[in-house]
This record gives sequence, C-alpha cells and structure tokens, in this order.
Amino acid sequence: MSEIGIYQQTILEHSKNPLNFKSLKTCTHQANGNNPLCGDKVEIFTNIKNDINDEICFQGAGCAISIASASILTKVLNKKSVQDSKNILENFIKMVENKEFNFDLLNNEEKTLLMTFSELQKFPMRSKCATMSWSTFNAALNRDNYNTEAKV
Amino acid sequence: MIDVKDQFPIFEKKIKGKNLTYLDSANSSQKPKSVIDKMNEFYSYEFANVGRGIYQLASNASEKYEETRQELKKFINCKDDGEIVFTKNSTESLNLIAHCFGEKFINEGDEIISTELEHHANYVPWHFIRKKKKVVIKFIPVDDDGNLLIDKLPELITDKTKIIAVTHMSNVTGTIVDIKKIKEIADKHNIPVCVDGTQGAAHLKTDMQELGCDFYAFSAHKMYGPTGLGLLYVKYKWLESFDPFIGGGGMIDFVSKDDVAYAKGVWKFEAGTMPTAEVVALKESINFINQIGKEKICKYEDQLKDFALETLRKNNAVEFVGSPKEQGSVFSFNIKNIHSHDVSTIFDQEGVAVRGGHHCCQILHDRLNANSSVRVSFGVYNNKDDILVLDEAIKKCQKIFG
Ligand SMILES: Cc1ncc(COP(=O)(O)O)c(C=O)c1O
Repeated sequence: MSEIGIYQQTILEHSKNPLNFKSLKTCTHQANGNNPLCGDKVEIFTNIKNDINDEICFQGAGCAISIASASILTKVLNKKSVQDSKNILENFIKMVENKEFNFDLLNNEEKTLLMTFSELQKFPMRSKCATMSWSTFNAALNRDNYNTEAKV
Repeated sequence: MIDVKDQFPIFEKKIKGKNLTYLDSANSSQKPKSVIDKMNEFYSYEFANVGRGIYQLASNASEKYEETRQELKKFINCKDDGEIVFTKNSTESLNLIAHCFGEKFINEGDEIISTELEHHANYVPWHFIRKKKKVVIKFIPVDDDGNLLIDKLPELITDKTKIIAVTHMSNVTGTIVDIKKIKEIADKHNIPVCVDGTQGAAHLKTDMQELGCDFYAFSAHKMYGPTGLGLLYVKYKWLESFDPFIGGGGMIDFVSKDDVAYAKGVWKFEAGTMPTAEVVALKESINFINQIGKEKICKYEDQLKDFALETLRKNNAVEFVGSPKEQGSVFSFNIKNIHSHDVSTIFDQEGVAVRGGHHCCQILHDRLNANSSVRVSFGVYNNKDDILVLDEAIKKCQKIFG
C-alpha cells in the first residue's frame, strides 16, 4: 500500500479496470456530469425495472479517483431500489464531505468499499472527483422524462 | 545563478515536513518580503484613500499611488503614447477592453480574430460581444507542437475584422507569440491588437514601443506583487474614445440631475475606491525585478526550463502537451496513464506545488488532444534542486500507479 491512503489497491484497481465501463444504447435513465475544474466528464446510464436498478453503466474520462468511484457506484447500487440508491448516494456524498452519515442500508463488504473514499476527507480539493458520478447518478434518477433512447 | 529564495518568507514554511518546491508561478508568484513589508507599512502609517481627501495623509497616499503608475510606464516603456489603468486583475482589464471597444466599434456582422492559445480571460469577454452584437470569432490555429501559425492570419482578415486579441505567452505550452509580426500584418489593415500580457509581463521583455500593440493587459500578482490589482496599458487615442466601463465616484468630472460628465484620462476608468495599498506595494515588486534585471531573470528562468525539459525527457512516461519553438518558462505534460489531478495530489505529499487541470485553456487542450495536464512554471526563486525534486516526484507517481 502507498503512503498516500487514498491511492489504495482498491481504488487503483477499479481505476485501471473499471466495472461496467460502457454505454447503454437503450436505457430508462441517463445523465451527464462534468467537473469544471479539470474538464473531467462522466455519463451514467441505468435501466430501472420495477423500481430496481437493473443495469448501471458509465463512461467517461477522469482521474483515478473519479473513475474508481463511478466503477464502485455501479457495483454497489446495482439491484438496489431507486429509493435506497438515493439514500446511499446522499450518505456517500456526506461521508466524502466529512459530514454526518450512515450506511445502514449496506452490508459490510459494501461499507468497506465505500469507506475507501473516507481518506478524501483529508483532501477537500479532491472531494468533487469522488462525488461527481454519484451526483450525476442522482440527476439521472431524478429525471421526470425517462429516456427510452439514450444518446450514445 | 540567481539566489533570492531567502527574500521570500514563504520558503521558510514546511509542507508536510518538507521544503516547498513551488512550481506554480504562472498561476501566481510568491511575494518578496519588501512587498509584504510595504503593504504593512502603508496600512500602519501611511493609509488614506486616494484622490479624495485634501489632508496631508491623503495627498501623500495619492502621490504614492501615482508614483507606481509612473514606474509601470517605465517598466513597460510606454513613453508618451499610452497610459496605465488600474483594475482588479488582468481578467478585468481584458473585459474592460472587450466591453469598451466592443460597445463602440463592433457591429453586427463584424469579425474578431482570436487564437487557439487563449486563456478564457481573453476569450469569454469577446464571446460576450459575439452574443450581444452577433459577430463572428475566428481563431488563428496552432500546430501540434503548440506553435501559433501566424502565417494563417492574413487569410483570416477581411474588411469586417475589427480587432485581433492574442496572448503574448501561453500559460499552458509557454508558446511565445511574435506580437511584432502580428502587429505588422494588422497595421496593413488598420486593425488594433489587444495583447493578453498576463504571462508576458512577468517573464518576457515587455516593451510597448517594440511590441506596438494598442492594449496590453496584465496582473500584479503574477509579477511578485499583490493580488486584487490588474493593469492595463491603453494607447491614448483609445483612452479618449472609449466610454467608461463602470460608473461611480472618482470617475466623474461633473454631476447634475440631468447629466454626468466623465473625468479625463485614466481616471474615467478607475471608479470607486481602488486597491490602494496594493498599488503602492507594487512599486516594490517593480524595484525587486529591476534590481535583479528583467533580462537576467528571463535568461535564468529560460535556463531552468531547459534543464527541466532535458531532465524530464529522459523519462519515457512523460508526454509533453505542446513543445513550441519559442517557449517561455512554462510547460505542461502528462505522465502516461495518470491523470493530472492524481499527479498533483501525490506531488503535494512531496511539497511540490504544480497545477493540474486545463489551466483555463479548454480550447487549447482540445486542440492538443489532452483532457488536462500538469503544468510546471518557474519564478526567479526556483533553482535546479527544485527540478530534481520534481523528477523524483514524477517517479513516485509512476511507482504508486505501477
Ligand atoms: C495568459 C493568462 N491570461 C489571463 C489570466 C488571468 O489572470 P487573472 O486571474 O490575474 O485575471 C491568466 C492567469 O491565469 C493567464 O495566465
């Protein structure tokens, strides 16, 4: 492990080989996010069936933290209900921003995964890198006009 | 070798137990003690608002404020043909030009010529004019190395071209633009040239007689001076023809219920209370530069840059963003497969301060196919040791990302 806590094996691995790194030609929800500070971009897709995230994917260009964070998002929120997803993503953002949070809806493995990003509390300038995909996903979930045909 | 580090108190500070390796002077330079002391002295014993009170303190403060203006005129050699306007920063100086020139001289269907090198500060204000007046902005292109292709300028010029807005030196690739050559071409068509001198004023020879431009915008904070203070050289003929930029106290000649007459000269553009202590202290920055000698500083920074390029070129993972023929003391790069913000965070642990991102130049990054980059820039206080620390920090990134 490196001396800099944030660049742990988990994050490095997810950044090099992100999960679900692809676009969906058809999906129910989609949103774009960007970080004006660095020009990083992310696009997130999900297919919601019976109020459950049935398939979450993303595409984008960004730093190790932003790619790993999006990759982990697709893993943790997949198969979760819309309501639970919103709760988890809100708490994830709170955790990164060093505010009070709880991960009651998560199992231990998921908790550990998300807690990797707690190191970012020491790097407030980088918190946006980790939260960008989560707030973008929130925007996707909040879309009234569900896309049936996402632009690819 | 120039050794002035001990004149800069910031270098007494340890960053995470390490010496500060400051390689972000293109963003803002550190301040010598003489400038900090002057701010302190002025606020402690000399402070009064300028251009208003007639008591002695106010009159002395006004005198000092104007002394800096005179020093600046000498600093950029503007003789009798132009004046210096104080603003908030270089960005405001450029907004002033785009607004005042645009309002008066640009009409629907006209054209503005910019370049692919520009900082957002010398693009967005022109974009405002584009939106408002329905005009076209054309761009002088750069090649893959970041050289500005001035030979393409003549074919961009039409009888609709109203102004050419161009940087003196890129804050990303360090590209030095041949302003004289642009001016020669512009003169044939009687087109004014607005130069973003934010990097140039601090790191290049800055002689208004030689450059011949109509406007030159720069910032005090990049030349060892205080923040909150921008500078703008304007040729007299424009100074008188422009309407004011912002209105209020200090910029008027006469006010009645029916009408307002504006002050003459630079005062027309200096509305409200100005950054007084900053202006007064800037004189010390100019003294600091003059005592070493601008030419000597440029040469020294150039040697540092050459040594840095030579050192980093030995590392195959370092990919430069642009590699222009004429390059000031700034360059940008990426480490293969590592994002610039990850690099900046790891550098920070080593006490190395650089900037990662697009450095307010998205058009240039797009053109050079980089999403973002790590930028290294030098000031007079840097030395070869800083570059060796940088080299080690790069290797550390490679080790972590393995
Ligand atoms: C080339 C260039 N132009 C304009 C600016 C804007 O300067 P300021 O932020 O002082 O207004 C900068 C600073 O980053 C710059 O490097």
